[in-house]
Amino acid sequence: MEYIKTPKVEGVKLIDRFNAKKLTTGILYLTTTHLIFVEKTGKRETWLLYMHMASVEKMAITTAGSPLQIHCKNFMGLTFVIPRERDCHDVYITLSELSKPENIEDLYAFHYTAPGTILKSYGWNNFDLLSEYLRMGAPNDNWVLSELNTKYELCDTYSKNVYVPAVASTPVLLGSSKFRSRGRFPVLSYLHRENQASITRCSQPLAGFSARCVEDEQMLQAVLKSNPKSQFMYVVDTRPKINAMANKAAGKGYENESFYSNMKFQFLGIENIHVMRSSLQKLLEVCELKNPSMNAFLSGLESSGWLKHIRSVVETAVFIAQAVHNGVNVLVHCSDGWDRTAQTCSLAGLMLDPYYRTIQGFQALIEKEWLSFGHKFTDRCGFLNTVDGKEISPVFTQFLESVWQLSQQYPCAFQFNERFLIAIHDHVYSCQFGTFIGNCEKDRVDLRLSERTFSLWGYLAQNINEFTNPLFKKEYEITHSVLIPQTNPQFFKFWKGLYNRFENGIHPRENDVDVLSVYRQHSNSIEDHIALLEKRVMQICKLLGKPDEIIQRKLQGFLSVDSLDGILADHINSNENAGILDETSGNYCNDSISNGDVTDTIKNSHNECDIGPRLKPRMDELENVVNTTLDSDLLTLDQLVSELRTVALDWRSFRRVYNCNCLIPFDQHVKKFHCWKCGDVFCNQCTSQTISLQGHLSRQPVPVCTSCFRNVKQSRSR
Amino acid sequence: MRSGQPLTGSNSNRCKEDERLVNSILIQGRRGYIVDTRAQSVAKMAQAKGGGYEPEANYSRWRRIHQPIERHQAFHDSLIKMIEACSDSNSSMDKWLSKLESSNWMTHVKDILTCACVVAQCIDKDGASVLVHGGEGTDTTIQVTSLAQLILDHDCRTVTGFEALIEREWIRGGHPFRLRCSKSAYAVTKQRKESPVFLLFIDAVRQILQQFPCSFEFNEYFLIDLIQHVYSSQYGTFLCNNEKERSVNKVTTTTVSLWSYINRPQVLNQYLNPLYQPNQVVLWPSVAPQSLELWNELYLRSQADPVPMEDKWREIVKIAEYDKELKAKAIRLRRQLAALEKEAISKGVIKLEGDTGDKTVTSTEGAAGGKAEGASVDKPVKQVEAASVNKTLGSKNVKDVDGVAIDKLENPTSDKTVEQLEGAVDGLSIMSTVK
Repeated sequence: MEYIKTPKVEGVKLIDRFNAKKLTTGILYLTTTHLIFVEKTGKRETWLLYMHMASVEKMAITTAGSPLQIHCKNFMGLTFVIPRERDCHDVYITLSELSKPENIEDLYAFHYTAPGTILKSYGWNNFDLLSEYLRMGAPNDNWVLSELNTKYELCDTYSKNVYVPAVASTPVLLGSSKFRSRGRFPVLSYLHRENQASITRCSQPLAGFSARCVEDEQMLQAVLKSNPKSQFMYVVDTRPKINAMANKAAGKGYENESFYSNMKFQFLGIENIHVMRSSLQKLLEVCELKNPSMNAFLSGLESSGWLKHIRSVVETAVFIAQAVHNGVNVLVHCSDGWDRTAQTCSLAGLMLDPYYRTIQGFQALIEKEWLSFGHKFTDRCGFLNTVDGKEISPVFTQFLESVWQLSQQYPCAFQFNERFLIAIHDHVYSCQFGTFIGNCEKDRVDLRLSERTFSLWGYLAQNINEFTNPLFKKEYEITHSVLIPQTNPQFFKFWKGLYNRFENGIHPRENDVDVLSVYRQHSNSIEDHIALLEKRVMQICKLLGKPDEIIQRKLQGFLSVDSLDGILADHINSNENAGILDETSGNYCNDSISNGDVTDTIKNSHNECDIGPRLKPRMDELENVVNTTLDSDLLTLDQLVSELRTVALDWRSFRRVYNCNCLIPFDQHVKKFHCWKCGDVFCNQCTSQTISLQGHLSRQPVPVCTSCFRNVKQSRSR
Repeated sequence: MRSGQPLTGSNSNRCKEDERLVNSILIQGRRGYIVDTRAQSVAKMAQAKGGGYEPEANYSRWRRIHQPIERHQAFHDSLIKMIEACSDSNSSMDKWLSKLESSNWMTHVKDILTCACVVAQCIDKDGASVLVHGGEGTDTTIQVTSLAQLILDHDCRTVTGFEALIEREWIRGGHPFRLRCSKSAYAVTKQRKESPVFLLFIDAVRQILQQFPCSFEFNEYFLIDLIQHVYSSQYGTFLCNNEKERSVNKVTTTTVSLWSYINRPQVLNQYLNPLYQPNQVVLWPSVAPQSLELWNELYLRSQADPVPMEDKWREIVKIAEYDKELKAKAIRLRRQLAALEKEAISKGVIKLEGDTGDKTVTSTEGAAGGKAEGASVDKPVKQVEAASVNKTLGSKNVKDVDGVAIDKLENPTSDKTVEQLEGAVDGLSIMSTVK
């Protein structure tokens, strides 16, 4: 690209954040999309996406060269020292140009091509707004799909599909739309399946000091009537009342209570985007303190006000969720109805509906509340140079943090983990995928993003192993169908995993969640392997003509008596002293010998059955399998041997694994994976290939490392 | 090493015997470190009251480090403030954070951990001896020495090791439990002897546990219950101030020890950490304010809904145990399969496609099975299994079989045969591919 003047700068030093004297020397490369710093020793690479850069600053020249400070939107901060001032200036110009393109079509997503054979369409169809509403039970008697916005003529920032009360006539909708800021009239956001209570969202009314709109009043009555069981409904203005009043001067403001009957008005005091922006700025300053004392950290945290704002968002969502849970309709708005409204409606949905706590459901929630209702991602995240600095605000970040706070209180309620939230955060800003580009659905359609760019959901689906929470309990759908979190200030924590994520020193050195997900996967592998072993045991037993009882015992893993049984038979045969003694009686005889010891083992095996009902061999199932495959599946010895070899029973512990085979160093952000064949530890890239293993009954493709993959392939082709 | 402060006093007394004793632990030509848990100014002030610190001139082979930690009275005050802040559920976020800050509790935790890390670093990185003392050597000193051991020595991170650590450092070391914990942890008393010194230590342990969740044999419920028993007098372990008092009051004969309660299998079971993998390495905890967290599970117990956290714990236990069970089962089945295969081959039910003699085949199988096991089974499981085999075979009728069984199981795994058989296996696979 024409902006890159110096593609490579040598002798660049990277300053350690904690120890300014500690420098690492390396080479800086400028590619079309990334700034790459390669360390001279160790070859460690730091990749910086231009799109992630929030600010690039040239500092005063020192004797060592000119320092260049870079702050990223994913909360990475780096300072390079470039020996020659001219190089520094070139790099500075290039970065400033490339981190904020002028034109939306210069964004990364339009150049990015995914590795491998993934199609661009992959992931774009993961979500369908109409089926999401069907899931909630709309349309029904009270709610209908309106066709007034199919060409975005009524409100250009809404989706073309909007659901409105069935009783609201077209004139009412048109009138209400005219009376609401930017035409964002009340539309259905969430419908509670059981009690028919709903969340509707809109923008502030253009009330000014005295304006009144009969259609808008009728519209709200229609919303109220959509829930016949409720006598009143809440109108939640998420702003502080004083802000709402100030808006009156501009001809906007809030509903006049005397014009709207049976409504309860609530102001919930979430601050505006400008307050949030400066709050995050202060928070990040606290994060960047060098060796702060406990008190400096806590008072910095306090004065940033960040947790206070998070709390107010969560509290508002709790208010909405509780009202809906109690069968009362809620209408939510803020100023334009795309920032605070999006935050609180989506959080309330998350609390009310277990579906949104699954990986798929969470994507649907973001698609519905944020993308189809028009959160201004391009503006809020500052993708382009043309964006006004005052439009930038961490609204979506706050939403993700609120979800994280919830997951801290309910560790088993979410199917996804912290990594998932962080990955979404990163890719909102990276613009690598088209999902979050544009300010509303219309923008995205006009840009034909689904044809020209890749979808984030496709990427996430591909790396699903990285994002699942091993602690997720499906029972929570029923036991905790509504999650109402604690909102005492004591329960809000500082999210070091996001804001301090690049400081490896401060994170737990052992990640219990990762260890658990290893356990989970390992169990899956072994389960499959056991199924195969059971089948083989069964086959051989059948071949040997053993009665069912013995087979059953063997399958229960009744080791001691079994091995004894086989040996006993051998022994008896070889001695030829007992004539024909079939296995049953041999077995029986073993049981009868049982003094204390054998009964002990029997007891053990019984206990086992109690503990793990899942472990019980599925006799009938197996029998079917065996019967059907017995003839076709001729057993050979080397087959059996190789089967045993393909599945590792022991997986290597994460401890003291510092590098993947490919030399990628493992740190907090690189999740470690196991090869299901050899059990060694690798990075995600190195275990991206899957192949079915002989040792698994289901023969499902499982992740293996590159060398195992090659081995299996070779042995198969032979 | 720990001690009380030297009684140098205002006129700089010196004591040759003390100097000799202290020097006697130094290895020739090495310097040691004296870690004073008081700030220099505090140590100077103590001099006026007859206490003080070791002057450089008299202890020339030692380097003195001041690593200030507050005294026990301060701990008490800050605990009261912190608990008050925690129990105020209606406060605003700003109020809560400023109260937490002004309570200084987290600062104390950070200070103690920092000091323990300094001590551990002197020992681990420099290989030097360290003498730790504060004023009396019964409060902060013990906190620091016991934490340093926890950081350095993996044995202290097991249940028994941790019990031994508390017994050795706190109980034998003469931490005045009666004075410090006679009332509830945050009662306001006049005597100013009350202090949550032990609680602070446990809090620091829990911070390390948070950062290394797989390196401790016990879980945080163990720590919470320990705290509870320090304040209840159900067991005699934490009664009295020192060993002398305990023997005068015959504590050991008239009360039950807490350890004997905890070590009962059914009790112990709930304290075990299913993620534990013995870790021999020195743990270096982070002491950055971001990585130290308030212990919600303890201080906010009355407000939080315990169910989600218990669910989490149960799920962890379930996942880990299920995995262990499956593995054991897979190993058993593999063995069984090996035995069956042997039998099947000897009866000629399974035929090899290649034209190899029966005998080699049999042993090949055994070897392969054996090899796979040898590679995958970790030792304890193997031993247990062997033991159970022996056990069941123990009865008389089968005694002569016993030998045979063991032989048959063990023989093929012996190195020599394995080598032979590996060759055989290779041959086999080639043959079958030729076919």
